[in-house]
Amino acid sequence: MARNAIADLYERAGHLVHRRCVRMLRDPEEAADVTHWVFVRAIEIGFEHRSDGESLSWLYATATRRCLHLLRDGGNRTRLRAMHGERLHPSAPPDAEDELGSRQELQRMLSLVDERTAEIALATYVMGLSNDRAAEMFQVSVRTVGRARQTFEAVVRQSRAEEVS
Amino acid sequence: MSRFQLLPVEAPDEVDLELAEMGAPLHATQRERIDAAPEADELRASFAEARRDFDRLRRPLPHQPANDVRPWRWVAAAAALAAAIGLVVLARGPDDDGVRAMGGLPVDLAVRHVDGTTGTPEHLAAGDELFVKLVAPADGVVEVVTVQDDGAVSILDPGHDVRARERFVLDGAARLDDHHGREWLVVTWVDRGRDAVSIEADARSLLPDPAAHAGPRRSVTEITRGR
Repeated sequence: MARNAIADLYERAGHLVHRRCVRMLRDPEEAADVTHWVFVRAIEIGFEHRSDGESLSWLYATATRRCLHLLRDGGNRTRLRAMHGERLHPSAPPDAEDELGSRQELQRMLSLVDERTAEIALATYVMGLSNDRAAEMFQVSVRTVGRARQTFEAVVRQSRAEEVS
Repeated sequence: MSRFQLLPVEAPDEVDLELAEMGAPLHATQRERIDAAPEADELRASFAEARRDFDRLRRPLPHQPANDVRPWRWVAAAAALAAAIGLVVLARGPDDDGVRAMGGLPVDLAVRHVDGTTGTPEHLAAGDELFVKLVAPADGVVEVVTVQDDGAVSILDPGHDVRARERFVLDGAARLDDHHGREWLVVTWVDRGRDAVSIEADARSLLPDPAAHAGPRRSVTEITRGR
């Protein structure tokens, strides 16, 4: 994809990617860095624009992976600890929100599952995407998304039970 | 995330609104439905706020990426092309008609009945409207026709170019007439577009039992009224 086409996409969708990244990172400046990184990455790999839907899917998937990397990065743990008590995005399902409670808790839970499960958990519980959308975004089946969510919820419940005991 | 064209049984979601915000091409009827979504105003306000925030924080894109990997991409592309050519040569037999190996052509059908209710096409009546959607298995062309037991063929879409994994939605709806015999909706995915004569001849060749010809590149649904 030519740089000009990426630049056009940056104009039209940059704020949408940023908005989703803010949900995941709760830091507008860091979210702007991730957004910039995603579009630079698109230029670097010569991302081919086919349709707006497919482009948005790729942008969100790449942004999710980058945010997950940052969330799992040990260097961010101090910052995440400072966020203790902050609630998940309101669009997260009530059970997940109740269970996870805080971004610090989310970061800890994400570290307990494999990367694919963590990506799907981030996309569905934090970004607020439906299973259908997440499946399209990561190019997996809806059933795979459902299983990943079940796995993640089981890890959350088990971790909670261990804490209580 | 190409589903910004909606069947009547689907409600627009946040991504649909985002695609509209991006200026993605929409059918007029789809735009009306998205505009009428209950949360549309709230989300548009959120988008406007996001744009203000992003305009304040955004950094310009570089004219040339610092880590330009494109030369390596060409090397990888050349290797992939060579491998693909080898596979095609090995895979194509003398009788290969270009059919691609797929698990099935997944077509979604929805119906809006005359009374305004929506559902699936098990029970149909004259005046009902059919909505057709599928996810393209690969780059190609989607054709949508109806064929009646008397050989009459109606071409609803003579060929719509689709990309792999792109969601195709038939523009508008197919309104059922009062034909009393049997009728089938046939959705065919082909590598290259065909002219109307070929499409009609192909559809007629499916009779008397079009359903027997359903397969990885063709979906057949009986739409006989009053079954």
